[in-house]
Amino acid sequence: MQKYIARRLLLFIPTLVGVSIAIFFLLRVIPGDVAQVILAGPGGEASYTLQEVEELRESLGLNDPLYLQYVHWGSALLRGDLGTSFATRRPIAQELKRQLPVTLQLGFFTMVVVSLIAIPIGVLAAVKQDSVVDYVLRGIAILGLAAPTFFVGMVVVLVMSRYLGWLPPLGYAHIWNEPFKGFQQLIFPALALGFSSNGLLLRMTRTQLLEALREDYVRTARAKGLAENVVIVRHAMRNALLPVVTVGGLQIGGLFSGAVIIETIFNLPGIGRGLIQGVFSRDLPLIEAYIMYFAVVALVVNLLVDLTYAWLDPRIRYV
Amino acid sequence: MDFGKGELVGTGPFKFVELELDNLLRLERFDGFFRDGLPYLDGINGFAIPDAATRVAAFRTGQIDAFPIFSTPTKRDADQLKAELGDDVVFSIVPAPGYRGFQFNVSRLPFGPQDDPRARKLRWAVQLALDRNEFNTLAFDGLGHLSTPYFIGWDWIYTEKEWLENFPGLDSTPEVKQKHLAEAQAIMQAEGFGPDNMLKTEYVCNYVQRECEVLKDQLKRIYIDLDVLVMDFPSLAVRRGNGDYFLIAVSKGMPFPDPDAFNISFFFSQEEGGSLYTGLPNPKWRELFEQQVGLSSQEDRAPFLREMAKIFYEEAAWIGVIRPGVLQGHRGNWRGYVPPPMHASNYTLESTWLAR
Repeated sequence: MQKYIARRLLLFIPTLVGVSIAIFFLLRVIPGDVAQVILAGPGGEASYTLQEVEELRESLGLNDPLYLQYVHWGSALLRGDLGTSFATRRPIAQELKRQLPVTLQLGFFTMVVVSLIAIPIGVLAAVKQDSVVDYVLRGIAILGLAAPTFFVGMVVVLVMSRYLGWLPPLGYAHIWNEPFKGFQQLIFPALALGFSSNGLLLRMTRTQLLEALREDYVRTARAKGLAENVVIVRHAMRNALLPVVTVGGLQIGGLFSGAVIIETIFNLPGIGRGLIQGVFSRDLPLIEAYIMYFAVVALVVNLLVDLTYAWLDPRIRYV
Repeated sequence: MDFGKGELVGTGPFKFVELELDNLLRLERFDGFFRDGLPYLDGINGFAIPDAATRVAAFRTGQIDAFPIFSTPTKRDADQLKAELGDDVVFSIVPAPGYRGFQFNVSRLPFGPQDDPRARKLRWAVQLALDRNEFNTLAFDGLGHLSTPYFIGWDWIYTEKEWLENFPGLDSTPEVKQKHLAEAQAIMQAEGFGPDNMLKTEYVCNYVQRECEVLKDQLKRIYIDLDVLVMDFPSLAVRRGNGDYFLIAVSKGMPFPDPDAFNISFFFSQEEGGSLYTGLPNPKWRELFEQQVGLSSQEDRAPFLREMAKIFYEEAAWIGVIRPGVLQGHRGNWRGYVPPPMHASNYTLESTWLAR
């Protein structure tokens, strides 16, 4: 097991190098000059001379050859220096420290919500196969898969503000400081963000459980006279959950991309919103640092998902 | 001092309480404020809400009582809020401290070189043909006001009536506009353009897409076929900086208290190597500018500025279209607070929060 983990960790290195090259060079391809964005000011209306543009480009290191810029950035990254934001002139590590807890809380809430909703409902749909309940739940699941996150988010805000006359309180509060306020602020974005994941996991759970319920060992369990809930939970579910965990793990990567939209719509000052602001201001170091961070999270989550297999299925051994 | 740590010194009506970047700002009433009885408010909570729809939702549900100055709702949203919330909300039209327009590239064909007679004619035809009222209605929800690059409001230079009477193309009254449009069409036809032989060119335009489409539509009337390229500001800035455009959208903030502030800002931005370089000002304009700088009274300066404005308008290298207006909304009666009639020159927090 330790060897397996060490090997996987070693494989992180080429993956991250590949990601860093892709991010770095792709961002240099998109049009837009950060020096001109900075000089034009927040409203984009300030005047400046082209000499000022050149001087700023020089001071930001944007006139260096691309490979040199990459080497400077990469070596700083290895030293743990994420650099300084072009737009705010603050250290990116400081920005990340401020915004990360918000996104982590949102991600955690979403996963809890998804697990609490999708898996039990998927089980219910499987147990009540081809009934009205099953059709309704499958319909909701398909809706979740079809509706993009930004649309769901906007509908939630619209319904709450227009028809219920209520929105979560403004001024983000960390859940450990003000639990009730924090809960109010996170639960609706989590529901919106988790809607499509819910659909996927619900269908996955249903399908896998239906397959498992047709297996011989389930028939044997029933023949032994075990109660139906014991058959489902202890025998069928355990086997059915393996692919569900895989898909659930992959959904975490999707949660980050969804957070970019949802944090903006629900006014959460997390890294998703920070990333959007960074893109609009062509804040290259910030975008690069955040995407590298997303890449690390995705790799770690995938590793954890793989390790969970052994816990769920004792037959699996890592060598 | 570090603002982030609350290290502040000031003489204002509110005291700093708390700041969380990208999240909130709290201020509370300063009881020792030097103006008796002010401020009316016990404090101000400001929230960072970057998304426009979320701001509207927050206003609708009473979580915010006012929109920030530069993040006001669209007319459609404001009308909807007014219909839903009735007399509980007040929206006032506030003129923006700047104007929208566009700029020709006078260093390349077809709208340049600057002094080329044909290029001048083409630019002048555009100046004549523009229907600014239509622009205002279609692209600015009717909230804006006619604009030239010079501020209509500096009445000591030209009154609005004088602008409309003396500057062909500005007046959108149908019969006057019809006459100017016919003149513009005649100019274009004399240059060899017509319905079957349109002048094809590009318009680099940023995010306010309605504005781009209206210009395309209006210039079609004088046989100019615009290919509208909509892009975000960073991309537009690069095109402008590299002179890689024929026609480009301009949004110009304007220091309104005095035309000199505007002229200096404008002048520097138009020097060769400047971000908004158009080839202006011409030597005559510059000479007039230098002459009026030393004069102190408006009376003495007015003749020079009148001439400068005329040169600017007739060069038509940079065309001002509309000074947009925004709908600043607030809800409730804040202890007698009445929103002040605002212009850019008193566009301050003080006038917003302290006016009687």
